[in-house]
Amino acid sequence: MTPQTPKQVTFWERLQAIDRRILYVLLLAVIIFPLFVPIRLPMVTMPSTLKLYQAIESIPEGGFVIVSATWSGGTRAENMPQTEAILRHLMKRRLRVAVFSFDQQGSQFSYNIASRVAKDFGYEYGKDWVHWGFRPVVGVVMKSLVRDIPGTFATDRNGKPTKDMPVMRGIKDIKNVDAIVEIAASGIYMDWIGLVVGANPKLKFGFCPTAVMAPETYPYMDSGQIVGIMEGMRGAAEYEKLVNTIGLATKGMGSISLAHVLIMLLIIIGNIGYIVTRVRGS
Amino acid sequence: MLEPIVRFFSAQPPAVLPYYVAGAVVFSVLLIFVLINLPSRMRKPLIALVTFLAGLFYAAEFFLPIDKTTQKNVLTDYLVPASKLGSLLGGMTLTLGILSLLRVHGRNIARLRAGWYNSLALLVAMVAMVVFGLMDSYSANATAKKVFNVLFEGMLINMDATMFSLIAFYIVSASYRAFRIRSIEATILMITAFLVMLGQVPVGNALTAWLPTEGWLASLRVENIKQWILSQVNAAALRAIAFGLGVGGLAISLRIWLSLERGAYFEKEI
Repeated sequence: MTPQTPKQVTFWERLQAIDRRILYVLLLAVIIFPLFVPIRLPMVTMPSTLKLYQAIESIPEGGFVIVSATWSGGTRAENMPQTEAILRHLMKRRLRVAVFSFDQQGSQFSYNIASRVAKDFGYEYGKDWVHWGFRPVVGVVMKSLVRDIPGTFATDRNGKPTKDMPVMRGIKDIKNVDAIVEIAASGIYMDWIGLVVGANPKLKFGFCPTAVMAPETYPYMDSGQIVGIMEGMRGAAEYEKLVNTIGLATKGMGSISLAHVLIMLLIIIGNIGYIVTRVRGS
Repeated sequence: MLEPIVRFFSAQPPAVLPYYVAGAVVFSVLLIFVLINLPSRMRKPLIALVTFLAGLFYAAEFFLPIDKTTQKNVLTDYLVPASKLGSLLGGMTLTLGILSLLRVHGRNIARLRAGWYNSLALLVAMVAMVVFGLMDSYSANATAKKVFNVLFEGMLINMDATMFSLIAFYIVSASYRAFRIRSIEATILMITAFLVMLGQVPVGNALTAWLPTEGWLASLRVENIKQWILSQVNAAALRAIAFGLGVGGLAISLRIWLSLERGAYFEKEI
């Protein structure tokens, strides 16, 4: 019996089966490289980001805005610059800001970010802004805040009563709120739209999802239920440009760009190998 | 009618608060004891009744006409207490989860089952986080605050980010291996994906930056093509899916509210 010779693997077949460890190293390199050697590329502001910016711009000074930061460490790369960019805009406009989160990590993150940004703009805690802390059970809290905001958020994240804080002056229910901005890595926008947005026709609801979540929110922007969308890190970078600041998102756009290009190149390489192998085989 | 109950559950002065807490603990223990010892044939009707009443409250509050001057109906004032009750129930389910974890992993450690050290790590991490978390909130001890900071911001948040970041590596590997243009549909999908990806990043914008920003030629800029795909093609498909989900969600909600749902979790003996 003659031993079988192993089938020769062609170059085109090899193109379809690059070792995954090489792919991992390539990805790591294209993510890290632009962080040390910044790549400046032209960036066009998308209409969805611009609409959110304009909606915030249209709120009169002293208006009341709720920022909900329902995200955790897993999506920090996208949601953190979004939170910072929106808070910078709100505080730059001298609006009253109430921050809270339906996520424990989000509560801590948003408090740290808001404290830092508040310092930059001379915002005083309790007078200009407040943090309502972590609130569990989404639907119940939303239903309740529509009718009674001081009752729903009776204490801040440190357990201090909120009713006597100047920032809460004149705030009774959802009709006294000018805008709500949700920064999230989940489909929580549906709860806001279903339970809160319709209760105040003048309320502006902005959404800042991770990039992967953005496509599903477009029908709601089309219908006007969402006034604008800040899409992932790219949206945050555009917003940073609009509020004249260079933050984490702007710095990260080089990495995001190269990572996208790498994925596309790999798909093309794999398909070239596949097509040539198929043509030669037939 | 419900006024005394609302008053009972509203914020209490610090002097009586410990009595309230002790009363709540005793009541909860008694309630759990009663529920555990209830004959199984009585549990289902009890759960159905509580589910129905809870759903009825929110449905009635939504549908009952409101007084035009106060913008309220007879149930509106009870929304906040109901919200607090919901939060408390959420907290109780967390306790059940913790008890379940302790039982399962405690047994793994006691019997030295395979991977028992993972169970030990889990329990130690959980206890440490609870202890130092409480100390961070209620104690002035600076060391405890530092330890909590290391546990929460130094470890938990970064481990969470690390776990999520790994997805990027799997996406690269999976898209490279799986994305083959085997049919017309796959080709259309790939072209669409490329256009959306290019439109999402500045490097893609740079490719067509030479095209004018006004006029019909502007429509060929990659960011505008991406926007058109998302706001027209994608939105239409998503509307259809959302409509179907909405109708389905309504049907399921009614079935759960009226305890008509059958199948997994609903027909098992409890």
